Amino acid sequence: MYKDVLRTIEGVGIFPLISLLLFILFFFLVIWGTMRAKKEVIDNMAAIPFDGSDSDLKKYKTTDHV
Amino acid sequence: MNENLEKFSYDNAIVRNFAYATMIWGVVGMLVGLIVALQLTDPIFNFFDLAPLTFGRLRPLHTNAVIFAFVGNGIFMGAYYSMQRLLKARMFNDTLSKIHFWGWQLIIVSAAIALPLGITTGKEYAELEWPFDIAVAVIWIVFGINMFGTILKRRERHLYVALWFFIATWVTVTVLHVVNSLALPVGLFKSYPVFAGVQDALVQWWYGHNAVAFFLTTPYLGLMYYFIPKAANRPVYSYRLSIIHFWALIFLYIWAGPHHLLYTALPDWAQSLGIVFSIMLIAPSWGGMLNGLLTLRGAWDKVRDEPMLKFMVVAVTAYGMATLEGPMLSLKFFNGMAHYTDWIVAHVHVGALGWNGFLTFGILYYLIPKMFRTQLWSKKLANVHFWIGTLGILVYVLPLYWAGWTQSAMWKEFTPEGILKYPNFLETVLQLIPMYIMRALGGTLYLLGTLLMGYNLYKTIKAGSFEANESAEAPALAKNVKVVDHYWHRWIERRPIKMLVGSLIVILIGGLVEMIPTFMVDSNIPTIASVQPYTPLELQGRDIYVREGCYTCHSQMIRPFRSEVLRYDPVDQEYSKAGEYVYDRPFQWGSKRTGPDLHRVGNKYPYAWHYNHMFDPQTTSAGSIMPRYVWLYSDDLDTSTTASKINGMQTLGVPYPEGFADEANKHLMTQAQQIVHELSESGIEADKDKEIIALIAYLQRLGTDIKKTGADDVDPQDLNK
Repeated sequence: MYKDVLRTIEGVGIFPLISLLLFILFFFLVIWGTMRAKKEVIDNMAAIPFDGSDSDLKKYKTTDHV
Repeated sequence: MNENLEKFSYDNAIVRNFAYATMIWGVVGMLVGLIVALQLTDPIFNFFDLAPLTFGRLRPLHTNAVIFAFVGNGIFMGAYYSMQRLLKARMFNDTLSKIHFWGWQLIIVSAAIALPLGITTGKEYAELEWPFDIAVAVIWIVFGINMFGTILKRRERHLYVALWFFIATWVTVTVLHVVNSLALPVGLFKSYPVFAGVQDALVQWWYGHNAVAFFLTTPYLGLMYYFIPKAANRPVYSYRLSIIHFWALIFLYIWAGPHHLLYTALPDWAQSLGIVFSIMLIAPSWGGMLNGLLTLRGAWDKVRDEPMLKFMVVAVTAYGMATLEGPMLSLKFFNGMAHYTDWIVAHVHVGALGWNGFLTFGILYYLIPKMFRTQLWSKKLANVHFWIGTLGILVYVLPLYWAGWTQSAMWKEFTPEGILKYPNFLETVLQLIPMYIMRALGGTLYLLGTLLMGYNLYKTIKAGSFEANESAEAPALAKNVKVVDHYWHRWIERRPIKMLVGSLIVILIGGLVEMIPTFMVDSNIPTIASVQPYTPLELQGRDIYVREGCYTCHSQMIRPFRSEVLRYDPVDQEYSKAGEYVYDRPFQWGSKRTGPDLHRVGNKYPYAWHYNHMFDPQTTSAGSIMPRYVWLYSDDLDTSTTASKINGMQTLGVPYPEGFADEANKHLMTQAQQIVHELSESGIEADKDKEIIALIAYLQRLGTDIKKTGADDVDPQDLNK
């Protein structure tokens, strides 16, 4: 019955398909971009919450694991 | 040292205020939760049959207090603290901070008065009526201006991952709140949603699901990414993972709303979309959980010593459990079992008590000693809080899982002869009372732990000295600096407004792809000719149904299961059809059956049965835990609102004849008279002016339209051919 709710919209089946493709494309772009990032850049960003004074951060500084 | 070094101070006063509000509203929200839990063990806890203290009115107060008052203030507390430090800047404007704080508290107090008075939209987690909705929007915008103002005057070029979560939260909550609150006011405290029936349900659960996603989850993930590294004194395990976590999560979350409406009259394709994206959500959710837990690598000795880290570990673990269970529950197999049962209540509380509650406690234990420049008064007491709280969560959720499974199994059990083994719904409820008592015990333990924390932090505050303005220094951001690197994400991290727009686009894609087809079908819901608008008396009765929060215990959605059509409509065996709801503003499908579904209750019982049942449910249903609705028998129906309600409905497209509003009350009185006459034939002398007559009129109408003689009933199978 509920398919008929949408039956009158031409090509409604395309909506879920578009949505899934959009996500997959987006997801791989994010992964590709993230993996290309340099290690120092990533480490520097991970250290933003620490201003250096209250932290023994240095010894952990180059430890991005993924 | 850098010659551009600027001196400034962090505003700790606003953080402290939000921290106090978090604690106070936390206790209030949990206390109301405990009262409603007790009400489900015995109706005597609906104290003195007072309307404002009944379950239907207090349950929305509990959910709103916990979500928007406790967690809401918790978000602002953590965000105001971390944002200033991550951006190396004081908040943009102290006055805006104060307006935000006091405005938010004022809204909470108004809600705490309005909801028990029955001023409600009847849409879960969005119960506040339109004047309060506008106030929420204004204060939310104040928060937004304050946040983006701070971001723009920052001294740290890059936006740390926690800030992206705050930005996405702000953007998405704005969109959700505006769309779901679209309503036409028909009085100072009464409005009808612009969407009806199926559309209203879809919008509401798109909102409801994403309120969980973008109010209870993303801001708390932002807090997790700041406070766990700070408390453990280690950077986040993988910053790369956090980038993927962020984008995948906000992209996926927004699509998953329809999983709340499986097996309902919602279009199949929207249900399937909701399921697919819900399952995919496991990946980013678990990525985030592991990122949080692994940040503690090599620091587990600290977890042993630091109660705040213990709270954080359990919080992140609870997040992982809830985000695995959520997608599982969106599979039709599990959903068919779990929906409408206490399983969902247990699931929700793993998130609320474990994830939100425990992370909030961990942050409070971190922040208060820091801002008051002292040590926590008693680590031992904090440890006791941790264990009592953990035990409280277990004692709360385990019996409720059991209750959910038990009730679901009882609903679906058939005898060998093929009839329902437990045809009386009440039988399945009475079975659960011991579990409900256990749940109340678990809630008591959790609340007790929270009170211990309150005492501990009070003593800490007493012993310390508060630093309202914490001095700091950082070099100003050099203007027009061209930073050359090849990392794409840094581009967006340096551009907060583009980050905002990017997040908006990402969440809108999900929202729109899902919503546009639904709105396009507005006129294409298979109309059932015999489904007619409510009469004025029924409309008034329906508004009483909404006011009393009947939807908190009764659904109006019979799923296409044999066990459900046999139970709720044994004669005609009709499940609920989309076309039956076209005049329902708001929809009242409900999400939990503490009592039976009511969609086919019309004409199931005589008028006298309803009259006696609503006055004292125990007289018609021995052992019922439903409250008594005695005030409906003494309060006159307010007929002064009838004309404006009819006019409002006409504006929204309900086909009442022209000029009907003027004669609506005449029509209303005639129907009331007929009902009083019916009652008198059963020996009941009723007053036609009382509210109960309108409610009975509505209940007797429910789900009867498609059964009218000669009804143009749409058979789904025929349409498919």
